[in-house]
Parts: sequence; C-alpha cells; structure tokens
Amino acid sequence: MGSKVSEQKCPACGAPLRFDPESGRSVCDWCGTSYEIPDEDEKFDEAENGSQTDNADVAEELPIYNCKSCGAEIVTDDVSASVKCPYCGNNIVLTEKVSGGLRPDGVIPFRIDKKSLPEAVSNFYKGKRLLPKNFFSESNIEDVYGIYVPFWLYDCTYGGRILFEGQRSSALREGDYIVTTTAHYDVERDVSMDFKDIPVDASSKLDDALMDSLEPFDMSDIKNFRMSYLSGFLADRFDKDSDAVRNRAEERMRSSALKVANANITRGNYSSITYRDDNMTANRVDTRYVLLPVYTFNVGYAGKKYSFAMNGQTGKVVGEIPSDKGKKLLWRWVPFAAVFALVMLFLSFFS
Amino acid sequence: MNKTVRFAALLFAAMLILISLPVYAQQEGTELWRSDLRRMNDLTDVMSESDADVLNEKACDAVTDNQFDFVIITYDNSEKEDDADTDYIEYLYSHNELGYGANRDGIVLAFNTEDGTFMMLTHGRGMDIFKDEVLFGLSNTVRAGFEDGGYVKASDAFLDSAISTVGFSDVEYSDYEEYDSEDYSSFGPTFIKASVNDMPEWYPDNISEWTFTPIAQDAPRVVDDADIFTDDEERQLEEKIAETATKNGADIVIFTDVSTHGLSRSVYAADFYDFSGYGYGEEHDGFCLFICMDPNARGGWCCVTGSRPRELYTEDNANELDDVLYEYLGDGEYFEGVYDWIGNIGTLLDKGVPFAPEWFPSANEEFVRRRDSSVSRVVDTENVISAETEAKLIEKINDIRDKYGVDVVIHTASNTYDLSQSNYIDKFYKYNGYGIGEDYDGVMLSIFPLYSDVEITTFGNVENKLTDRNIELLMDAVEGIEVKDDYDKAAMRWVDYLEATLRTGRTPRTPFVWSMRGIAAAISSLIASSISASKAKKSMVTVRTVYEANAHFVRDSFGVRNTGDRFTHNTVTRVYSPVNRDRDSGGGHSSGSSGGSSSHSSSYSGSSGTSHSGSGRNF
Repeated sequence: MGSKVSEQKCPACGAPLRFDPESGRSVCDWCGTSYEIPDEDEKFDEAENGSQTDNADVAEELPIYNCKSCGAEIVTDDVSASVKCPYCGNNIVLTEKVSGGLRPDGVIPFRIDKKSLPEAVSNFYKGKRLLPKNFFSESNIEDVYGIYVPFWLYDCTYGGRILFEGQRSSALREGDYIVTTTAHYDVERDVSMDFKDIPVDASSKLDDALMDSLEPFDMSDIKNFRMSYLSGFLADRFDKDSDAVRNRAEERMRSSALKVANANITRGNYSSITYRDDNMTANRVDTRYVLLPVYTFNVGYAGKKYSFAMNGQTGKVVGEIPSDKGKKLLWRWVPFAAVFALVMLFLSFFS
Repeated sequence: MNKTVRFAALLFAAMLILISLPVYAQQEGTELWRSDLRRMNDLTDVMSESDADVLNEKACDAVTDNQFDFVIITYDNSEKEDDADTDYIEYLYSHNELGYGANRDGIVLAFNTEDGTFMMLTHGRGMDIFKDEVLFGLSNTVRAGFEDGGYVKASDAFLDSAISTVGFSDVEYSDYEEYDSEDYSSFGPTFIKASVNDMPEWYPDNISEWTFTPIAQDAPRVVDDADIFTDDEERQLEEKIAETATKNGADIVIFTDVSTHGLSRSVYAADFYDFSGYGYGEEHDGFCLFICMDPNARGGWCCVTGSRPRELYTEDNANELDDVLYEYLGDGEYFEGVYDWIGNIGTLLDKGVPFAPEWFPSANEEFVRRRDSSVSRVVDTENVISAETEAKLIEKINDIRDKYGVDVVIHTASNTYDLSQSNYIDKFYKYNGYGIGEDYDGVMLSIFPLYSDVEITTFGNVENKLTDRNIELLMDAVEGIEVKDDYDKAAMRWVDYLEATLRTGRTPRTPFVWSMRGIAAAISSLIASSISASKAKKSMVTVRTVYEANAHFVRDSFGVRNTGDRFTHNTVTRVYSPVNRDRDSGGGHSSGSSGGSSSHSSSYSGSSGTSHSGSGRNF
C-alpha cells in the first residue's frame, strides 16, 4: 500500500531537513546544521526524461503514504508531490511524483523566506488608494503555504507570412477640387522570430490569472531538479500536459509577434501599410517542465478571506483586495471639485 | 600678325558701337509714342489725301520736337454709334495708345462732320497747358480756320496754334507718371460755325465774339422752355432758389428744353449757363439743372461751375442726389423732384453733404463746440428701442452722470452721410453738444441695426476709466447671443454693466460667459476626476491574465523577407475645396442709396471754354 517517499533527514541528529531559501541549503532546525544540495538525488530510480505524454499515465487511485517519523498514514491527492505530515510536521517528498517521466527538468528554488511575508505584504498595500484604512491593522495573514507550482516553459520559433495593404497617394488641385489618387498594393512579408521560456501554468489547482500575475520569473535561476529543494515546501506535479496548454503559449506569442512585426516592418515607399491577414504559426517547439516557487496565503478581514500569492523568487505579491466605497467617492469627487474651483478661479481672473 | 588682328577687332567693335547708338536712341525715342500711327485721321474723307498727308507730317514732326502728341480726327455718328462723342474720342485715344510718354501728353481735335461740331480733348500735361481760356481761344481759331478754308484750314490753324502754345508753355515733359492715366479734360462738342442757325435766343450769334455778361440778379432762374411746370410751380421754385442761393452764395438755375440742338446735354446745359450769364462771383459759382424733354432722348444734366461747388459735387454726392431726383422725374413728378433737389443742393452747399441731418453744422460757419445738457442722451433714429426703455435708460444715464461725472449717450442710426463710421460717430458726439468737463468726457454706444454693427467710443478722459478690456466686455454685453436683436435688453444691460464698471473697475460677465465658463470647468473637472478615479481603481487590480510574451522575445531574432508586392487597384477621391477669391466686403456705411449710377464728368468745357463738372441720367 505504501508508495515511495523521500524524507530528508539530518545526518547529524536525524531530524527532518528542510530547504532554506535564504541560504539555498538544506537546514536542520533541530541541530542547526546545514548541508549543500546534493548533486544527485539518492535512494530512488531516476528515469530518463522521456516523452512527457507518458507522464499522463500515472496511477489513478489515491495514494496512501506512511510518515516515517511518526508512522501516520497520510492520504493526499493525485498531484501533490511534496506534503507535510499533519501530525508531526515532517516534510515528505513523494518520489514517484517527481521521478521517471514526471521528473521536472528544472526548478527555481525559493529565494524568499516565509518570515519576509508580512513585510512584503505591507509593501504591497502601499499605493493601494482604495484600500480600507483599517485593512492593515485589522487584517491577519493566514494559511501560508510555500508551494512549488508546475509550469511548462515553451521555446519556439514563431513566424509565417503576413499580408499588408500598402498605399501610395498623390494629390493635385483641379479648379475647386483636390483630387487624390491612391494606389493600393498587396504587400506580403515572411517573418520569423524566436521566443524563449514562455511559462504556462500546468496545474489546475491554482488560478491561471493569479499565476500569470506573479510573472516575471528569472528563468536563468533554474536549477537542475533535486528533491532537497522540495523539503519544507509543498509541491504539485502537472495535471495539464504540454499539448493541452500549448495554445495559451501560442496566443501570447502571436500577440507579441504581431506587435514585433508591425514595429519592425518599415513602410518603405508606401505612404501607409495596414495589416490584413497572416498565417503565422509556432514551429520547432521545445518544452520544459519546471517547478516555480510560489507562496499562497489568505488575508482575513471583516469576516472574509482574500486570497494572495507571492512570487517565491522575487517577492512580488498579487491578490484581490477590497475597495472602500467612501474612498472611491473621494477619489472621484474631490479632484472634480478642486479642478472645477481652480478652473473657475482662473477664468475669472484671466479671461 | 597679332597686332594686326587686335587692331582689326578693335575697329570692328568701335563700328558696332557707333552703328547701334542711333538705333538705340531711335528705339528709345519710338518707345514714347506710337510713331507707326497717323496723327491726321480723316475717317470721313473730308479732305484730300495729299492735304491729310501734309497735316500728318506736320503733326508728327511736332510730336518729337515738343514731346507732346497732336492728333486730329474726323468722324461721323455712324462711327461712334450710341457712344457720347467724348467717350468715343477718348476710346480712340486710349485704345490706340496715342499720347506721348508716361503721362500720355497730348491734345486731340475731333470733328463730327455729320453734326457740324468739334471738340478737343487734352491728356497728361495737356490739361495744364490748355486751360479753359486757352481752349476757348483755340476753339475760335478752329472756327476761324474753318470759315477760311474748311476742315483742312481749321486743322492747320489748330496745329499752328497748339504747337506754338506747347512750345511756349512752362509745363515741361516728365518721365514720371504725374497724371492719372484715365484723366482727361474735354472742350465741347461745340459748333464748328461761329454763327449757328436755329439756336435759341440765348445762344450767341457768333460764338467767337461772345464775351461773358452777368445776368441780372432778379432775372428768372427757372427757364421752362419745355413747359413742364405750371406758373404756380415756377413761382415756388423761384422762391426756393432765391432763399437757397442767397444763403449759400451759389447760383441755382433750372432749365428745361425739348431739344439740345445737336449738342450734348452736358454742353447744352453749360452753354445755357455760360451764355446766359448765370453764376455768383468771379468763378460764376452755381448749379444748372437741365431737363431735356426730347421724346427720343429724355434725360437730365446738372452742370456745376466754380471751384467750391465743383469740390462739393463729388461723384458719390452726384449719384446720391441723382438717385433721388431721377426717381421723381421717372415718375413724372417734375416739380416735386426739382423742388426737393434744390433743397438738397442747399444742404450740400451749407453742410458739405447732400442729406445732412439738422445737427450737422454749416460748413460756412465756424463751428463752436458747446456742452448741451438739454439734448437727449438717447437718440433712437432707427426706432429700435421702446419708449419705456428709453425713459429708463435716460434715468440711469442721468444717475451715472451725477455719480461718476461721465456723459453717456446711446444712439441708433443707419445713415452716416457718406462719412466713415468713426468720423460720423465723432461728429455726432461733438455737434450735438455731448460731453462733461473740459475734455468733454463721455462714452457713447452707437448701434447700426441695418449693418448689425455696434461701436463703443470713449471721449475725453473716460478712456482712463475704461480699459480696452472693459470696452471689449461691454461690447460682449451688447452683442451677446442672449440679446441678439433685442435692442431694449442690449441697451439696458450695457448701461448696467457700464455703471458696474465705473463703480468697481471690473466689467461683469454676461450669463452666457458664466455658463461657458461653467461648462469648460465641468468638462475639465470630469476629465481630471475620471483620470484620478481610474488610476485609483487601477492600483487595486493586481491579478491580470497576461496576453503577450514581449519579455520572452529573443532580441535580434526577428527576420523579414519580402515575398512580393502586387498592385491591386486605384481609388480616386475628389474633395471640394474652393480657392479663396476676392469677395465684396459688403456692408459699408456710406450714406444714401446706390440705386443707379450717373454719367459723371469731373471736368469739361462748353462752347464758351469755361470749365464745368456735372452728372446726368436718362429717365
């Protein structure tokens, strides 16, 4: 019944190790010893990174795990790859969720410690003009989870043929009339451009817009995957494969590709060129499966919970926050009254 | 060898220069007059070819010697068709570019061989050389020559006399344009024979021997040979003339006839006036209105004599007077028209403008400025202000005068009596006795409803109390959209705003201005508040779906290749955009109407040689 798990233990005292974002090392909270992240994971079979589509065929029944520290049986969902024992707090990595075909190609380790959360959140509140004034003092941060979120990263060459309408005009006067002759042209251009590391959320558990808002992630910080990075954090594996979410990446690419093409294609001899149509597509698509660090937490205020997320690498915080009705009116009508009075005063004196 | 070649080249160059000099001189000489045209033009073949050639040669020689053109023409009525003789000859002169030099100096003797008349036209400095008395003498020379030997002798005598006159004249040729190219002076047409049969009794038996004899002061001034007035009407006209002429020092004569006996109306009128001996003073000042009742050529002509009357009888004044007169004459109201005309001539002589109002001072008296508080401060000539409003305005104006020492006048008018608007306003204020204090301080609102025009004029020291900006705002008060065409409201508001301005130094704004300000402020405030609210709202939104991948574009990876440009079609648009052309300015404030236009002559002579001006029309 039990499945393969990995519990990182301190070699010195046997206490559970956790990954420390600040130092980037595995740390033992019991004896204070810290260890470098090993070059390779131990005690499990590493599978070749094969076709990711094979990863879809994972065991369908809900797995049950035994905590090695306290022996408790832990039931978790199909996608969780790293859990915390609810009884003893032990960090458990479910190795089969991150090995073989499910093994991530990389991970961006957490760089922000959970302790920094309150400060990051209070910085986030700054400049939020419609926030109720007692939100900061009367709200509290709850349910903080550091979680590695699965993403697909797409690299591709995007391009194809774009059709423009070019125009050349000339005007001359004939008596009381101005006669303008415009010659119309079909202008075709073949374009291509490269995109790299376009991230698309591979988990259905977290809201896509929320994950989008956490961008950008510095992809140059991607490390080879090691289970040690997961210690102390939750992690999910993907439940949307790369083909299923590819069109999201392509939509983003297309939008940018049109802008790039319009910006870079010169009018030349034409007085104007106007976009008409295109057949651009993504070619030579490469994907990588990575885990990106995200903190999720709730803020309770006035009996309601507001969901937030923080980029575990950059500290960027996003989330829905309440708006104060009174402030809304203030921000609309105070400027109105002030400008009205100023303009009337100005006109009275200077006109 | 080199020396020889050089010498030959120099010699050749010298010869070229010598040859071209006379050519150049000749070319320069010929530019100043049309030497290719004949000066003796016998269009009706009244003289032999040889005689004409001799005269032509004489005239051409005289042109170059005197830098002055001498032209003789014979013509008949078939040549000139319906044109007046003067117009026809003038047309020939200018169309053929006759005349010498920049000013077209010259004299033309033209014989109408059909009517038995002749005339002389002078151009350029010819108008200064050939004065009235000279032309009269010359005309006698022509007549004497004609009597001696017909047209040939008349032309020869003319040339001798005219050439001699130019030769002895102090008025020298000038390269500069000192005369208006369209200006000329005319003498005649008058009879070629000194003694003319079938002329009225006032016509002298021998024009050459005639001398001026002033007519008696009490001699009739109405000579109704056409019998268009009743005895009573004649009497009334005589009384009117006596009153007007005596007051203004200029004669007024009314002459009617059924024929001009072959002369033009203008010459016939001038001959009647001169040969009858009319006129006041040395220059025979006066006006002669001739009404021709020839059924085939009904019309009139006003002949003006003397420098002062001629100065007043400008073309514009002539048109105005004729507009009124000929409307009467055209309706057969001869007495009414002439009676009215006499009164208008009197006004012209007295005040310098033909239809001047009562308050216009006499031009003959020295104007002494006065302050007259009895004159109404609201003069509504156009009747656009109600009596009730007028009373209220006067009350407010009196109040302002008492409090601030400023005279306030409101005036409506449409006729500015041929003066410019500003000149008229100035005269109106001055001649009516408005103004307070040493400098006649005051402010006047002038409304011209016919032209939808308004003027505010300050006088004396009031311009120190009212700045240009105040005046602008006071204009807004009268011209504002809310008071358009409501003169009662406009005048009342103007007075109220003026009072507020004098009291506070600032001119109130009209409700329209306030509402426009409010709208402008509301629009800008709405824009500002929308921007502010939008920014505040935007600051609250942190969760957004990302639709682009700009940050993931690999720099310098963009590649483009031209695959083909293909012409598809043309489109042509035509947009109407008229070119600005000169347009009539329209409006204007000249007095009187422009119902028609008269023939006007600023200078001509009758058979006597006396200079006149005049105007006339058919009716």
